[in-house]
Amino acid sequence: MLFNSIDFAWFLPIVFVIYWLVVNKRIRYQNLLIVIASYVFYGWWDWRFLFLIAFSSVVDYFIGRLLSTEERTNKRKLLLWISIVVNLGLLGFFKYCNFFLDNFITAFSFFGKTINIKTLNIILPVGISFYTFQTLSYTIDVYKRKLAPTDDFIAFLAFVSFFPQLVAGPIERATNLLPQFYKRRKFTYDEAVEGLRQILWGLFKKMVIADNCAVYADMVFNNSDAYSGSTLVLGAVFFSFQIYGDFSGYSDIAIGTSKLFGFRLMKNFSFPYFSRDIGEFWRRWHISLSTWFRDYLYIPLGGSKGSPYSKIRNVFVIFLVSGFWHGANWTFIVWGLLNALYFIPLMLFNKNRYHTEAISTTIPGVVDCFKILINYGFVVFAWIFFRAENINHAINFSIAIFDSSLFSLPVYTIRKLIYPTLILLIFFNTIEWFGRKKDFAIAKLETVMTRPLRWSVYAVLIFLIGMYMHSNELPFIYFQF
Amino acid sequence: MKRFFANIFKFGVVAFVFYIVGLFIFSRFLPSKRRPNLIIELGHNNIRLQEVKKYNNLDILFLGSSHAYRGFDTRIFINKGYQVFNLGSSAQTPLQTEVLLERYLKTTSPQFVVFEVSPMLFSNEGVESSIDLINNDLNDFSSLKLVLEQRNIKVLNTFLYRSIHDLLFNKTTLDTKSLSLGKQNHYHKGGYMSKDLSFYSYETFKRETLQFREAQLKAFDRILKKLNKSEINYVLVQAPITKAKYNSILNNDYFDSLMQTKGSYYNFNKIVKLDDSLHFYDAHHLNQNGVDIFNKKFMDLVLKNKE
Repeated sequence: MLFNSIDFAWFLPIVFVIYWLVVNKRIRYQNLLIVIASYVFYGWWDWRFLFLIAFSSVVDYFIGRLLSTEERTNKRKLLLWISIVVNLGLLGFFKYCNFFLDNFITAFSFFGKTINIKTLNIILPVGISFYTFQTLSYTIDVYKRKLAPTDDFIAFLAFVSFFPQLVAGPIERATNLLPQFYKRRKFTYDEAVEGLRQILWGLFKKMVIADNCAVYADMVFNNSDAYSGSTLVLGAVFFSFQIYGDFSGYSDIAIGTSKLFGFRLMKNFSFPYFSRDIGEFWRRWHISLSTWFRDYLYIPLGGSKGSPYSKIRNVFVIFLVSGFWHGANWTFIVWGLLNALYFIPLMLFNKNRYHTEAISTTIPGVVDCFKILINYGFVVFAWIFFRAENINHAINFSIAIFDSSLFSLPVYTIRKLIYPTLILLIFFNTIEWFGRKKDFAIAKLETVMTRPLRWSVYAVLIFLIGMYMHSNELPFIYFQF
Repeated sequence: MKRFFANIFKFGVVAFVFYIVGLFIFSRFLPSKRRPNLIIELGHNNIRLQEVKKYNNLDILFLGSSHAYRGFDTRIFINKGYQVFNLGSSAQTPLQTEVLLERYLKTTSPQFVVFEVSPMLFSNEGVESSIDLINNDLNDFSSLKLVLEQRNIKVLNTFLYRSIHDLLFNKTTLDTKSLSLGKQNHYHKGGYMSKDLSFYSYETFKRETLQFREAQLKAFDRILKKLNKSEINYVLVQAPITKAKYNSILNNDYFDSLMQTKGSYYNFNKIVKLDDSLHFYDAHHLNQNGVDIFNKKFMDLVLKNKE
């Protein structure tokens, strides 16, 4: 079920009403409702893969239980490895099997040998990368004794399958989300209203900004040989807003929906395009994944401690794995590599934590503007690899940018079409800029506007969604990861 | 909780008023290409739907898409002494045909219905035609049903705009003088649209198997049931299109067999010999030379058989 579908517009209020008015007396019933609703939500796409979530949940629940009674280090390690192998094994099979087969065949062909292995027709289960990492965080935290293993099976099922964030995150840490299923949830007016406000902003980002930018990004990327350098840059810029609107929009809807049910999820985006360097960008982009890799991969590898060589190695590892997490394609690996290359100089000169706070002045200074633009340029360049069909496409696209046509006007057909989207982008970025110190851009309205004004703003957003949304529901980009 | 639901309701009212006001502001100040989800332009169907209200006791009622209103020349049938009306409209799918029959079957009380069908219409959502119908005819409960069936924002916006507009002002009506059809198109009494003679230039089409929509098939069955119940004879006709387009559809045979189970069916792509470059002005539509040949064959084959 898509957040931007009519099905979800019916589903959410029904679950909300049952949750607060029918099963509100007991936490266990509320958790059970969440499990049922989550399985319906996921099964709407393909019910067969429910068995996968259920299997993953059962394995990690019982490993958690066994870890609670096991004191021997070797046995504990073995249990942890079973969880890692099962979870990453499923992820590896569904997501990476064909990638490895293809590359295996290609590698042999270099040596003049042909091998006949047929790639498999595997459907990638939606959200598998997200819920796999979430369940893994549970087992690892229990193993490290950071979290007491749960004996509440229903709460654990609800934690793994919690529908607002099941298919595209934020990837929650067990230490944050699981304990919330044990506590009694109380309906609060302010939190519910804040949730709705965040859902509205998320829908605006997805349906107006991302989906409209997608039209022009697709137009340029699908026919990149035919366009001038300046048009290609425009296409890459549109893609940067497409992916930001799409993914952060999803996160806003997920976090807002959770608030409606009395849950607090972690922040996933914090206005990343206003970052002044790549270190700041990565503290603001897909925060739940970055911090997951930081805590479970980067720090265990040694983090930023040790020799320059080990620091560089660790940065490469984390960015390459992050790229590979996004998809079984060399384009994602190169995207990760580029980000590592951007990041390493900052780290070596100890500048990677230079900008930790958002710019405080209403109008940014010239230096900050310059830094934001330069950083944005680097990010957009890396997005080319993320969006391209394959490495050749990305390289040809990049080469075509840097010729004399870069200084020409973008092609007329695109220039003529993009004005409404450009106006919407200016409107969107202005609101994001003024709301950058809050959890989401329009959270600030609560404190600076009277109710009639606030309601007018919401009504305008709804109207703009109605005017500029696509008439067909477009899926979220991150569903494919 | 009560406060929450009360405020949701109040906000719903405010947002609805804002939305309607916004639709009128956008319709007034923005050109159509800058408001992609608000299509309120009127067309020749406006004249057709005014005219049909004046007809009763028809001999033949034509239904279908532009293949019908550009393919069945009412002048030819009138000359032969038939009282006919062509109720075809742009991309009309069974969902809209059903609405039109709801409104006009009783008043026109035809003896015979010619229902133009094609695989493309059954695979079409019907958005374009719904918008056309909502814009150009008075809206009633069946329009609302259409909106709910289509679940499309463009159809919803058009419906909201037109419903409020027609409530506040009189329904906008066009006549052949005020209607801008372009120099080459001409509207004729009885609903036929002709085009100045021009010829098709060859183009290629992607070969594809069309997926027929469940909603269209169901609507189609309801229409036939309604006609049977009203004891009106009907014939299903696939009007000729260019071979280039026809051959690009891979499941024509399946469609033919499906239609044969529904009633008397004629696929004129297999019956009349027409030349793509001589008898068509685009991939879908016959030029006047083609229309004359097709209509003559239709009369010989279908109407004579019927008599």
